[in-house]
Amino acid sequence: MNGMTRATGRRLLASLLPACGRWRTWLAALVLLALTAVGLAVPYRHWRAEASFAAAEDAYRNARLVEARERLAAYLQSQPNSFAAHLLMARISRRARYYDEAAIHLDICEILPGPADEVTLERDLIQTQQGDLAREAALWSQARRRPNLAPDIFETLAQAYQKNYLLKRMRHCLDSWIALDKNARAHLERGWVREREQDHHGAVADYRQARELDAAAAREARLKAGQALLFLKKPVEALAELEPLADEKTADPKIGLALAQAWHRLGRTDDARILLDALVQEHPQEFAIVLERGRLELEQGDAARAETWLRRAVEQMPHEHSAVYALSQALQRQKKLAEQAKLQKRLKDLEADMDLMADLTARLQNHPADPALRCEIAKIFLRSGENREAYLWLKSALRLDPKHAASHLALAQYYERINLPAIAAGHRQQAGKGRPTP
Amino acid sequence: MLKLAKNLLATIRRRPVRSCLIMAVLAGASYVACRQALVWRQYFEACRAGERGDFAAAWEALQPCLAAWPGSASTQFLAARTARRAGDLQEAQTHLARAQQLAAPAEDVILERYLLRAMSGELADVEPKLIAFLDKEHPDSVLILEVLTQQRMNDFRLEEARALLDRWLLLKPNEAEAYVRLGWIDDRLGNISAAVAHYQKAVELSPERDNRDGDRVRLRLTELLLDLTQASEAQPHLQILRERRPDDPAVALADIRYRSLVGKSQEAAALLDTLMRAQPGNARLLLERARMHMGSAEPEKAEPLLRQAVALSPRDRQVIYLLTQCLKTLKKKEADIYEARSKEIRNDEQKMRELMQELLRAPKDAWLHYRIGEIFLRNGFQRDGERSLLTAVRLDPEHSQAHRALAAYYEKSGQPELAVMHRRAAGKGTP
Repeated sequence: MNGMTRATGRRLLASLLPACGRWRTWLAALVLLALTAVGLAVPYRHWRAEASFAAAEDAYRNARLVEARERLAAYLQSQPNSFAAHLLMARISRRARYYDEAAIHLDICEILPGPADEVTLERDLIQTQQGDLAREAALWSQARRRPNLAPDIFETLAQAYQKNYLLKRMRHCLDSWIALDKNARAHLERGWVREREQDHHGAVADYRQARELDAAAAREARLKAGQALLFLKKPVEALAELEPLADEKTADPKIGLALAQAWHRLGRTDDARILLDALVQEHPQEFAIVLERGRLELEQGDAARAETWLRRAVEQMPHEHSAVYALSQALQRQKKLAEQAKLQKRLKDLEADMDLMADLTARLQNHPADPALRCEIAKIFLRSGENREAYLWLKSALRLDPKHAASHLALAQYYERINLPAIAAGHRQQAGKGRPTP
Repeated sequence: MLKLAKNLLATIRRRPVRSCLIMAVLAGASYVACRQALVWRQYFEACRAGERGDFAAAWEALQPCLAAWPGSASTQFLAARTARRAGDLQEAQTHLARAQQLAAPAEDVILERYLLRAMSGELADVEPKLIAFLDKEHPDSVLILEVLTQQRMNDFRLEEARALLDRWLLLKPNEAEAYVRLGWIDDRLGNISAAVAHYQKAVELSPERDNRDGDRVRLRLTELLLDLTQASEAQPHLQILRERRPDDPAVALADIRYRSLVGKSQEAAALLDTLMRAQPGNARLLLERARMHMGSAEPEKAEPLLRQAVALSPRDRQVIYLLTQCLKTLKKKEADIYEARSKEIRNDEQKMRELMQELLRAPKDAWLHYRIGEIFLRNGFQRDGERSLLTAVRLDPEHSQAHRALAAYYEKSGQPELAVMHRRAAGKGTP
C-alpha cells in the first residue's frame, strides 16, 4: 500500500514538473511586470503632478482662480515642500482676497529654499491690494524691471488707488497696464475711472474694448457700457448693449434696472413698468429700483403714486440727493409746499456736502497723504449715515498720522453712534478733548 | 519536522562556517527588527497618550523614539508638538527647528510655529492665519481650537472662545476638555447652573483625566453645587475628593461647607478651627468662620476674623460685604467706610460688565483691554490685570496708558527691568 502511494506520488510529481516550469516562468514574468509598474508609477505620479502644476499656472493666468486653487492643492498633496507651488498658491489666494491664506503660503515659502525677493514682492502686493500705499514706489520700480510680473503689479496698484480714490494715479497705472498687455480687466477698470472723470464716451469705448477682448468679461462690459450710454442719453445704443443680457433681467437687479431705464427713455413705458414691478417683487430692498419706479410715475404725471414710491426710496436712503430731489418734485406738483420747503433745505445741505466732497476728492488727488482731507471725507460719510465708509476713511487717516486729533474725535462719534461708548471715550481722550478717565 | 531538523543539523555539520554566518545574520536582523518594533510601539503609545491629553506619558514614550530615530522628521515633529502641548515651549522650538531641517512637511511646520507663537503671547499676529486653517477644515483643527480657545479665554474674549468651543464639540462631541472650558467661561460670567452642567459633563466623560489634573474640575463643581445649596448633588463628588485628596485645604473647606449645609454646624465649626490653626493666613477660611459666627448671632467674634480677612484680601467683595454687615450690627461708624468700598467694588463690577459687552463686539480694541486690565489690577486680580494690559500693548504697541499701567504694576511687583522697559515705551507712544 505504502509502495503504491509512493509510486503514485512520483508519477504526479513527474507530470507536474513541466507545468511547474511554466509556472515559474509566469511567476517571473509577473514579478517583472510588477517591478516595471512600480518603477513607472514614480515618474507617472511626477508627470501627473507636474501636469497639475502647469494647469494651475494656466488657470491662474486666465483668472480662473477656483480651478487654479484646486489644481494646485492636488499638486501640493504630492509635493508639499515645493516653493514654486506655495508662491503660486499665495498669488491665487491674494487675488481671491484670501489674504490670511496668502500670508500662510508666504510664511511657508520663507522656510523653503527659494528666491526671497519673490516672497517680498508678494507681501508688498498683499499689503497694497488692501489699500496701503506704503510700498507704491517699490512696486512701480518692480513693474518696470520685470515685465512678466507687471500686469499683476498694475492690477494690484489699480485696486489700491481705487480704494484710496486716487483717480489720476489709477488712470496712469491702467494706461501703463494697457500699453503692456491688452487686458479686459484693465479696460473695465479704466472705464470706471473715465466715468468718474466725466469722460463717458471714453468709458464706453473701454467697456466695448473689454467686451471684444474677453468673452468672460462681456457680461460686465455690456452692463457697464449700457449704463454709461444711458447716462449719455443714448437709449438705442444702450439697448443694443443690454438686450443680449435680457435673460437675466429679473435675476440681476442691475441688468433689469438698466433695461427698464432704456425702455422708459424709448417710450416703452408699460414694458418698463412691468419689469420694474417684477424687480420690486424680487428685490424689495434695492433702492435704485424703487427710485426708478417713483421717477417713472412722476414722469407719467401721477405725482401721488410717485410720492408713495419716492417716500419709500427716501426711507431706504435718506441722504441720497436723487431720491430727495425726486420726492421734492412730487410734492411740489401736488402743492404740498410746506413739506417741500423742508426738503429743499435738506437738498441744499446735501448739495453742499456733494460740492464739498467733489472739492475734497479733487484735492486728494494731489495730496493723497493728507490725513485732514481723509478725515473731512469721513465726516461727510458720517453725516450721510454711511458709517462703514466713514470708518475706513478715518482708519486710513490714522494710518498716515496716528495722532491726528480730528480723526480720533470723528472716530469717537462713530463709536458712540454704534453704541460702543468705552471705545469712543478712548478716542475722545486721544483727541485730547476727552473726559478724564474715572 | 524531525526529518527537517535532522537535515538542518546535517547541513550545519557539512558546512559549519557558512551555517554560522547565516545564523549570525538572522540573529542580528531579528534583534534589529525587535528593537524597531519596540520603538514603534513607543511611538504609537506617545500618539495615543497625546490624544488622551496625557502629555507627560507621551513625552516619556517619545524618548526612546528620539534616541533611536534622531534623523526622523516625523518623530522630531511629534516631539515638538508634545512639548508644546505640555507647555514646554523652549523644548518645542528646538524639536520644531530640527523637524524643519529634516524636511518635515512645510505646512505642518508653519502651523506648529503659529501655535507656538499663539501660546507665547503673539496671538494677535497669528490668529487670522489659524482661523484660515480652521476655515479650510485642516486635519489638525482640534489642535488649533485647543490653542485658540485657551488664548481667547486668557484675553477675556469669552464669547468668542465659546463660539470656537462649540466648533470643537462639533468636531469631537465627547471632548471633556471642551466642556471644562465651557464650564470655566460660564463660571466666569456668573452662569452658575450652566457651569455646573458643563463641569458635570466633563467629569462624566473623562474622570481619569481630571484625576490626573488634580481633580480641579470636580473640586470646582463641588464648590459650585455648594454655592447653589445642592448638598446632596455635591456629596458624591465630595466623597471622591475626600478619598483622593485628604490633605487638600480646598477639599477640607468644601467638606466644612457641606457639613454646615446639612445642619452639622458644630462639626463644621470644629473642623474649621482645626484648619485655621494649620493655616492662619487663609482669607477664605477666615471668611467662612466669620460667616458661621454671624449665623449664630456672634458679630463680635466675627469682626476680628473679618478684619484679618480684609487685610489679606482688601478688595474681596464677599469679605467687605460681610464686614460691613458685621460693623452695622455692632453699630460702629466704620461701617460707612466699608460700605463705600463695597459700592466702589460694585461700580467696578458694573463697569467691567459693560466693558465685557463692548469687548464682545470689538475684541481687538486695545483701549478696552487697557480699561479691563486697570479694573482687574485695582481689585487685586494681579495676573488677570497684567494679562489684559499685555493684550492691550500687543494690539497697540504704542498704547502709552497701558505701558504706564504695566510699568507701575511691575515696579510694585518687584520686576524693575520690565518696569523700565514699559516706562520707556510709554514715552514713545500715543498720548
